[in-house]
Amino acid sequence: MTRLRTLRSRLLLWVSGPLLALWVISTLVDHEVAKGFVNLNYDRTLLDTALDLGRSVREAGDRPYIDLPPSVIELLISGQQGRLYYRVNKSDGEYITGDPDLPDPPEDAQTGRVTYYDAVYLGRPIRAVAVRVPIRPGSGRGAILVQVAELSTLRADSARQIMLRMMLPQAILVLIATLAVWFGVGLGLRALTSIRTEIENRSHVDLSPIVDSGAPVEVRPLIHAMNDLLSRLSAALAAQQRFIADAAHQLRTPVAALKAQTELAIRQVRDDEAKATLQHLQTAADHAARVVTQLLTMARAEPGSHRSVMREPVDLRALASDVTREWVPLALSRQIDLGLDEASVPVEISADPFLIREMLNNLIDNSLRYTPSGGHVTVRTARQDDHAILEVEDNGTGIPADEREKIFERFYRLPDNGPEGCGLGLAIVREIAQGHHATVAVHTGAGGRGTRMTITFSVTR
Amino acid sequence: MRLLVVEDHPILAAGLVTALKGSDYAVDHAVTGEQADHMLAAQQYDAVILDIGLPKLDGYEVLRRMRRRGSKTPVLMLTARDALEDRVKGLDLGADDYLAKPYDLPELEARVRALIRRGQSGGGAELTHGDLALDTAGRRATIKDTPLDLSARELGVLEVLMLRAGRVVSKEQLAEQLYGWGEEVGANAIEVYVHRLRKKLEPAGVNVRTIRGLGYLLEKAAHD
Repeated sequence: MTRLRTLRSRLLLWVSGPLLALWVISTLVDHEVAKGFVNLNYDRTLLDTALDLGRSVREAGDRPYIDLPPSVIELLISGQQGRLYYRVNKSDGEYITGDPDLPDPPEDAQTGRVTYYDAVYLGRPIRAVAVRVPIRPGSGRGAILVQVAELSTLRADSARQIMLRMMLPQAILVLIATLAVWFGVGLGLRALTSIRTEIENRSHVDLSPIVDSGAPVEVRPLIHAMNDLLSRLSAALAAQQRFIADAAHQLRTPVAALKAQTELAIRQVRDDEAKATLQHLQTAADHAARVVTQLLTMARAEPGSHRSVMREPVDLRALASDVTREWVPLALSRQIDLGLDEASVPVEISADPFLIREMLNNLIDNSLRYTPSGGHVTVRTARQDDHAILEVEDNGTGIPADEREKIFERFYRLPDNGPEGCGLGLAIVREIAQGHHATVAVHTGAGGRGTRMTITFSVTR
Repeated sequence: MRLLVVEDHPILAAGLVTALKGSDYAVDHAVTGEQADHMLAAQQYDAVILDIGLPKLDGYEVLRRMRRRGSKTPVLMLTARDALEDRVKGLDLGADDYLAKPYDLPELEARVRALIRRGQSGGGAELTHGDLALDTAGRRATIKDTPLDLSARELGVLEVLMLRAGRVVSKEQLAEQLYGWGEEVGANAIEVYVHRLRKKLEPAGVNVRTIRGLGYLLEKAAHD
């Protein structure tokens, strides 16, 4: 029974089991009822035959006889389903005519006028009737006993026939009921299917309540319970993100002060050794500043953050152009050629412009870190059918194929380390992409060198 | 040049004041919004560096009151808060530029310089970029005091590039500027002006770099 995990098979079992039992019971009852009717009818026929025989008894002298020609007697005992047996005796038991060995009626029934009884004749079960009739009414010469019998099997056959004919329509009824349950359950569950589809199609950042309109009343408590859980989850997430955001926010001003003072100290100090130490301090301060900024972005991009539901039309190329432009001075200082692919086309998506900017900032930052001087970094936008594509390609060190999944994990850094990064950039990229139902793919760059990161948005959404 | 730094974090403020004084600006410092408001009402500044997150009277309010008084002093906003929303709000209120904390000191200094240049360009000041000088009022460019032979449009392009020296200027931005001066120009025409301008600047060692798909950048002069 543990295998019956579906509602449909359980309902089928619960409905068709009792129906089958009912069918069996009803068949047995039908059989009994049929037997009763058959007995009643056949007994009546036996009695009619016995009375016909009894009425035809005449007395010739002392000796009674049946005043009927043999052909008529033959006709009387031919019966509907086979030959009848009969015997006519005097009241005192003296044999007159018929089958001499037909068993006597039971002792206690001798006195009754009409007696039905079961017996065995020639090794086979029979049903018999015994009737006491006066010889010629008014003659007063005593009575005779007329017995008529037939094989019991005839009746059993008839009863069985009737039973079988009733079984079939009932079996069809059971089948129809079972089918009705099968399809009925399917129809009933269709409401659940639509709820399932709604939940399946959600992004993991969408913790809004499930709409219960259209759901069966029985299912609504379940939806309400789920919505309750969703709202608690959403509140817990929001609290966590608020904490991270607040913490990062509180760190920004002191980190800015640290950076400014370090920069000043580097300018003021003449001693080369002290200058080198201060430059290390500056690198560390820059790193801290970057982590703080990334944490804030991360908290903002995650589900539960009020910002993640903001959507407005965004032209990817215009945005890419704006963001890339801001990175050019840094790229030039590292002798990297950063640009926007001239073939980029304007393509509009529905998105949170702040988060898409942050995503692109992180992609460009990442590419610049892993591209040596003299390298190229190219940003491009494209449209493919129903998809908008944002791509950043470099000809830098590239990412080994077996690292391509791990680089999206938080605080993961490539094993050979390379330039200082904080390990949150690509996690942010993935988080923001997921929040926009977009996919992130990592490819090897053109000519088998470097990396090409592709974000694919759905335009029709 | 007189600047006002409005920042309540004492160590950060001290850093900014020291750095800006090192660039030969006269620098005043206000710790609270009220103090800044009084100082701005009493004194004319060439630029204001204004932190948004001030106790009681915040940076937005200081900016609002300043603009209500009719002050056109350029304002650089500093904020630790949500970048985009703050930027939109600040720019709506009349801020001229924006920097999110934690910023790099050289970046802040460059923005302040650009702000002051922009504040002066309307008033016909002289822009300089290494040996290159542009008199925005007299519409005249010189290299080491030798006049350059530039057309009005080339001068227009040069002015935009110099105002944003070291940053990328898109063709659209150039076209917009020229259009603003009553000229309708297409992207191809811009390319032609930039090409000619570049040739004329080349002998002076000033390079107008083309940035793929993005626009042009006047490369930083060695001693800027």
